[in-house]
Amino acid sequence: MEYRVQQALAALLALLAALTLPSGVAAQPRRAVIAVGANHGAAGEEPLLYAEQDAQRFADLFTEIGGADPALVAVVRGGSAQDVRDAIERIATALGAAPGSDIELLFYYAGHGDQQALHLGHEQLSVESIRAVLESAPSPLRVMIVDSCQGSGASRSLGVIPGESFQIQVAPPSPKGTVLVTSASPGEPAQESDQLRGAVFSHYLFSGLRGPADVDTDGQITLQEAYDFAYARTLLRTAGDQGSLQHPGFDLDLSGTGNVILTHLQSSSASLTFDADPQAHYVIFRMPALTPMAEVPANPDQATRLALPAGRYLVQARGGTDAGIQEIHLPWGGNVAVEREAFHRTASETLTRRGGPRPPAHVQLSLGYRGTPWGSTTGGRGHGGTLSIVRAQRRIGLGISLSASHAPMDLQHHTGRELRVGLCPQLRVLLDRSPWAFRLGVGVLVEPSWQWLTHRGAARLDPVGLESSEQHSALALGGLGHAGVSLFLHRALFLDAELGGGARIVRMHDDLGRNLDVQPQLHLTVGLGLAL
Amino acid sequence: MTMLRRTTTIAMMTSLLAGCGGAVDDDYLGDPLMQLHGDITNEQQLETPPEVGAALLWTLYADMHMLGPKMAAQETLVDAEFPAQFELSIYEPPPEEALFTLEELYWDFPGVDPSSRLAASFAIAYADGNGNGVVDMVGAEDPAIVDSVIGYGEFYVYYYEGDTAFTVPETEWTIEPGFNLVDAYLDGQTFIFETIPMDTPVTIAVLDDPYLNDVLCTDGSEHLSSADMEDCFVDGSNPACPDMGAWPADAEVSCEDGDRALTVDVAEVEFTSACVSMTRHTLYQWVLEEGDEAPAGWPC
Repeated sequence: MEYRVQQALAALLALLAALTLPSGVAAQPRRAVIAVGANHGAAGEEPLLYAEQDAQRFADLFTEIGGADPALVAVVRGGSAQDVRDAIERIATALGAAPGSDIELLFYYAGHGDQQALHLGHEQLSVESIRAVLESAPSPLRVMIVDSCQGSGASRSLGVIPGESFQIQVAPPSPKGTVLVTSASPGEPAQESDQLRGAVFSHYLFSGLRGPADVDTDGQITLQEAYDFAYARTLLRTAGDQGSLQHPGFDLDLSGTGNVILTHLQSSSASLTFDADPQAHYVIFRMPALTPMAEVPANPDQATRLALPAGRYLVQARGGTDAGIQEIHLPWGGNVAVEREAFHRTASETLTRRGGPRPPAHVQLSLGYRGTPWGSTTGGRGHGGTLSIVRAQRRIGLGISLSASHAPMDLQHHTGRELRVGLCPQLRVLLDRSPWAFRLGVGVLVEPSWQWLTHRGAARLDPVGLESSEQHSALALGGLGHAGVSLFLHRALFLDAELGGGARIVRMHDDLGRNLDVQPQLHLTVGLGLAL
Repeated sequence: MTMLRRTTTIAMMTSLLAGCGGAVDDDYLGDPLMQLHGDITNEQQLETPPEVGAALLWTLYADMHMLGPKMAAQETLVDAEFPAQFELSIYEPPPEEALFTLEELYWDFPGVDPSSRLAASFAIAYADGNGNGVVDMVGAEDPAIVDSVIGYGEFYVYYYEGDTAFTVPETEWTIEPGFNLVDAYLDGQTFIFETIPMDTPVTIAVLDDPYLNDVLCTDGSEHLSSADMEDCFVDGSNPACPDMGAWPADAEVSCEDGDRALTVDVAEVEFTSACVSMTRHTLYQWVLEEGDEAPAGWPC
């Protein structure tokens, strides 16, 4: 219901904006969007963290201010090649059912790829086949944006010109044809930013489309403006950091005249305005998930209007005297001016090669509460804590956990307590679905335990010199398996929960002597962790 | 080298596992506070049931009479082949009901705290009638006799809940705090009590005693009887007397005074239960006067 209200309000605002368009501002075309994100590529390719999220951001952005018809939006996140073909087929069919409607088609891909194909998990989807299908669609204009770690491959075969800003030399009324924009040139890796929580190129493309790329301040962002903005920022960003230099590229096959207008800022339900500032630039995160929405560069000449959906935002200022953050509530239809006096605090960022070593959690350190609701051999529920250190390497984590649990004991003639200290080297299989991280683990348990018993009649036995207390110790060996999930609240901070179980072999001291016993183990752990 | 490393690893793991004393779980009873062991003997070759157990019974009577009501402390089933060895492990001190202050016991000894408490128990052998492994005691709420006692041990187990040992005046019997194994025997006209080592084997003799089951009576046992005398005459002139020889087969016949006096004890059980009974005895007496001839059927 809320979505429908938002759509209605967006449509109303778009209508109002259209009615108040200044002369020379073109009406927004209707668009179809196919956005594909794949964090996991072929075997041997490091998993990405934000590709699927970027695909969703692309679709959301164009639905919001890019004229995308929600009924003609298909987002494929982590899907198979067939899922992508199905999505293209669905949109193409919908376009075919509306001939002559001049619906423009946008295709966005974020993920791994090579010279011939996009890598969707262990499957590959031919770039040529995608292009052929898109070009067969009854759309006057088709824009393909490929933000791929192997952008060189897709670009080279398609004859993309690398490394230079380009001019779209078109004149009214409208261009027709195909535009291909790639995030990197041949031989260059595309990059993800941990702090931006997205691909660098996509981040700046999305940012520019929300307003900062509007050089001529006409309230609409053309393909030219967006590309120029993303090109310059990506180059600047990657040149000054530990990642490799990244030049976005393009390929044009256009005919006709006119600008390719991608977004209309007036369509937005709300906006932020940043005063002209020669030094400070800003990164805007949407609350509460801290999803990066845009980056506004320093602009000494003019104020920048940033189109955003209504909501709560965290604005981070970098550089200049206003470095820091502030939280802003952006109401529907509101245009809030960012107050420079209200900033505080900032943080550094880490750039990593897209497809390189996974940035977060090279080492994960977690501390939590551990309960053993059914694991105790003495009937009592155990409570304790656990400390885990895990080094993540690709999809594999190697680590060790140290746990201690305390359980009451309630025997026929005795009461007491038991302390177990477990050491568990373990192997983990990791699966990232940012901000979630899932894992399965197996480990070897080495667990010494101590039991202290007091006879229920101790008050009577002690005075007569009869022994009323006993102490037992044992060493258990066993195996444990667990399933866990982490929710990253921040790049380096996560909530963690784990349910584990297994069996241990322990030597028992009973009334008939001593024997080895196999005992089940079960534990539940919740805690906090740091990704270092 | 690999083999050596593997062997070393296995040896280390094994030694680690074996190195600790072991953990305990819900079934653990603890280290015994006291253990009693010995044999159940059947020297009279009496018929015994297939399920025989040994148990320690705490007396609930302040006079600690061994046939008073008891409470079972620990039971164990034994091999029915005699002599059968048994071992009783005691994990708890005596129940509160079995502990009596020295004052209650009229043990007023100089220098001994009269409020310190004492309990006494003894071992029995019993037939486990229902095979449940425990002694089914008999009380007002559980009047049925399920198990039956077939013998009791020669020693007593005393438990003294006091700070220091004491010696009963004018004896050499010293009672230590905690458990004491006590031998009580008759030396001439004097009962001698002697504390003996706890590991002394205890012998439980299987006996043929109809009152042994009384030790199962938690509410006490009482066996009452009454006797009436009836003077009978050889001429049969007392109609209350049976004809000569016409008394019940189980009547007890006794001859006295040179077989010239005859007493026939006819017992009639008026009421009986596990722990309480009432028996009425009628004593029929015949005396041959001077010159009387023994009538026909005279048993003497």
